[in-house]
Amino acid sequence: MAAIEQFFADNQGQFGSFAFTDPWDGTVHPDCSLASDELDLTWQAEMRGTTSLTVVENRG
Amino acid sequence: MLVYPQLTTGALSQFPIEKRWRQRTVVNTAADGSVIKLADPNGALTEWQLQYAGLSDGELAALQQFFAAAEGTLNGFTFLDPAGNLFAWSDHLENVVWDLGSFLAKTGGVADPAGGTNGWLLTNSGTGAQASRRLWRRREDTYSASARGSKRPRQPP
Repeated sequence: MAAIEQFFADNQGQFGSFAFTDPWDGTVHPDCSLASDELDLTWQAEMRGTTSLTVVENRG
Repeated sequence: MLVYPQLTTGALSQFPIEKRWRQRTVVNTAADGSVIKLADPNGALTEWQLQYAGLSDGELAALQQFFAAAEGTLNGFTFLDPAGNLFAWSDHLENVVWDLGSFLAKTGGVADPAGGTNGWLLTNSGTGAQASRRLWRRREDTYSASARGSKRPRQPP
């Protein structure tokens, strides 16, 4: 959870870009961004949390 | 400045804790699908949703007093992120936030319990106990922490 928070902050939401490896086929997409400026995190208990992110590939 | 109250256990809240980060990015999407973005750091916002159940009378009274003192949304206050790392730099003993005992020598890059190499080896060359500590904390708050380590036998001279 902390790593995702830090990644979101480092990217300033959807502003930053990064390389993303497709977990389905291992293809590396060199220019991707987060799709949203919002990140919701929920901690249900110690060391147990949930969140979700959407990654989009940039064009142009 | 007003400080958000802790429960009698020292915790700031109960589970579940919800936290929302908001950034603001100005996005211009061209007709060909290309995108130009501009970050707006001043538009960033973090918010927490805290829920409580089974509070004692004292804990409830503390929250009521805090709400009255803050006058609802009017006044600002200090808030410690219950989901945040309040012990930052715990794997960087070279940082200035640490105050090491004068006879302690530190060596970084040591294998850590998580399988990485973020551990530190502290060697006490003095005859007495030595301490390493963070320089800053709020005196009014209650903190808890733990450390994992091992003692190595002294090598014969």
